[in-house]
Amino acid sequence: MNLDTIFQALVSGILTGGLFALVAIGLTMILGVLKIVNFAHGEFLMLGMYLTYYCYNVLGIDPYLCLLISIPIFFLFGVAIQRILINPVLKSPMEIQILLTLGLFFFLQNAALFFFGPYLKSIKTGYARAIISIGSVNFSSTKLIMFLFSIAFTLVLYVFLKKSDLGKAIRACSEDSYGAMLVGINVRNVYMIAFGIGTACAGAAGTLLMPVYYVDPYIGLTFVMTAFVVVVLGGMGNYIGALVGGFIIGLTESLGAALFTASLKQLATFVIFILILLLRPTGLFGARRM
Amino acid sequence: MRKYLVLIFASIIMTMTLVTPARAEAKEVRVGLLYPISGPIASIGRLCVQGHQFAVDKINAEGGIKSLGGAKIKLIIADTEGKADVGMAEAEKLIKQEKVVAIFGAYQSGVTFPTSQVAEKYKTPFLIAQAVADPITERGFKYIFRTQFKASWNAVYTLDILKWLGEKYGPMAKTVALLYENTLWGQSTAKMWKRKCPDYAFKIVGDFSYSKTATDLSSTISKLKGKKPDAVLQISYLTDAILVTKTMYELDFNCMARIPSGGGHSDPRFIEAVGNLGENIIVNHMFHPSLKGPGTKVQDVNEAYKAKYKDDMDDYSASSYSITFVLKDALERAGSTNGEKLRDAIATTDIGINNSPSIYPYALKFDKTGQDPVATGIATQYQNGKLVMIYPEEYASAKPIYPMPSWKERGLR
Repeated sequence: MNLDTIFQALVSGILTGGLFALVAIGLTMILGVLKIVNFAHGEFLMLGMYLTYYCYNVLGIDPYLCLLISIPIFFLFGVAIQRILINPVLKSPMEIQILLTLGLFFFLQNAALFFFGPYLKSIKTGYARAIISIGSVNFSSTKLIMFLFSIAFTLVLYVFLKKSDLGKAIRACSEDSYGAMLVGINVRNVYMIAFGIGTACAGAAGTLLMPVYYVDPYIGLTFVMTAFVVVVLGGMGNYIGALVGGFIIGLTESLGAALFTASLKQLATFVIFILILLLRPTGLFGARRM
Repeated sequence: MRKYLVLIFASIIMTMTLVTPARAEAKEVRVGLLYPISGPIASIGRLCVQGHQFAVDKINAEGGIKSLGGAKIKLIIADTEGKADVGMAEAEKLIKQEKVVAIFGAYQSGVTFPTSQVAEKYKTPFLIAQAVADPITERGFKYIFRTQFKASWNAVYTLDILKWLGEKYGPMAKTVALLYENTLWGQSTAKMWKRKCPDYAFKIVGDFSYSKTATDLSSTISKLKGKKPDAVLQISYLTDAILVTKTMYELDFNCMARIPSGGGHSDPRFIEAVGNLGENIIVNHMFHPSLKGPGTKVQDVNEAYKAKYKDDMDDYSASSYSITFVLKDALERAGSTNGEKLRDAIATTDIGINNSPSIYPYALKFDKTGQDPVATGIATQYQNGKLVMIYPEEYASAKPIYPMPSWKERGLR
């Protein structure tokens, strides 16, 4: 086995892991606070990519500057979705909630098909071609930027949850919404904000992904499937777990492809998924402790 | 009130029964199209249908089938949804209810396989312009005809191109690596390559399959780079083709030739997404509008098509377009829509290259199995952002660039 390949795999795995973490963190927040499995999460990411695409191609806004647009837009979008669609089913049985988010998934995917067409779109930025070489290891600058933003975004969110009053309220609702209500927290508002933040994470991930990847209406599922594994791996609702889980899955995929064959890499991911569910259903770090 | 309703319904049914024979008298030849026009590959199915429609509009405008008193061809479109079971039910419906005289279909090999069996049962000719799986014409059926090369021929064709490049332009590639997506298409082609490479004295130094939904292929390309192959033979759909190309650039992987077999690399969206990173990739496929000769036939047809559908012809529409003339020719010679007579006429098809309305670069005829024995592909290469024909030489519009310059030589890194 070629040592260069291993180094390359390590670096690629960590870089992709950062993105997986960002997608998974939004998912795990919604799961932890609202106790809802959001199947439409990947579609928020897809819409984030389209927003970035049109910002760049129509308005000429740099994709990274577009974060300033996509984060607030998707926060508000998430708040609206929660208010109009999720809130009415919060006390309904789980099947109803799953059907609702699944319905939203199909709706958004088909809306994207209708409005944006079935064909893939990608953007060409000047710096997409900038390659960073360290010894025999190569990676594109856009992947590094994506990684750094993902980590920064995650850390800011972490500090917000730990230190701010609102963050503490979100954590309180996540642990015991009834108790939170008793001590005077406006649980309805917290739900809205948590869903908004979760959606904003997906939107931001979409924006960061756009310079690296391409977008079509089906792209959401590709990433969200991995994100679900990350969420389960880190413990459902566990914030740091999602971050670490993202890196574990990123490294599993790239090292799996380097040591065995690329055909097996997703197999490895889902083997981990099944093993965790069987042996440690609360995830590596335990569930819902933000 | 009820009585009136009954009366109204009765009169509607009466008129319908009265109208039907009148319609049958109006001369038309009903032909079935069996393609996936909904579902994940609907965009391709629709291009196939478009190709047939374009050909039929031309035939009808030029006076229809003369030996049948100028009968017009009417296309009855059925949707397989990309599924074998739906396709079989639809094929049966086309034959039994719609009374079609022949069926064109069904793009996917997996759907063509069982649906053509239905046509065979009812002695209705089934004409195949796209499905390439070898066994389709190897079942001893009498009503199945294919104008497309077999998958295995195509794999060999890739090797022919590589050998031709080595002999004519040099140096000859000694080692090759296989890089393919891991569904049936990639795996079966790779199997063929593995069997045939020794005949060409190409040594396979790497064998890499990947999932086409992969989001990162750095590890695979890094391993590929470690093997230092002279040439890469590739099977990719669109999104993975883009990812592979970008990753090869990122990891500074260079080789003498990259020859993917059709698929994603021939899609216009590929070059749009990768820009000049796609330069000098050789794409092996069925058809290309820059196909030269005979005369300007291909360009004329393409221009007319473009005027109507706002897009160049592609593998799908061009193959559908061409095969439609096989049926037209057979109907003219048979002078009948009887299944057996039509079958015999198709079996004796002999449409040469020069004066045929088909835009394929080879003659249309069939061997005993219903396969066109001279069917072949073409090779094109991205030069200055456009695909140009490079092989076979007699139809080529440009000389190949070989060996492929490295990223550094191109000033990209």
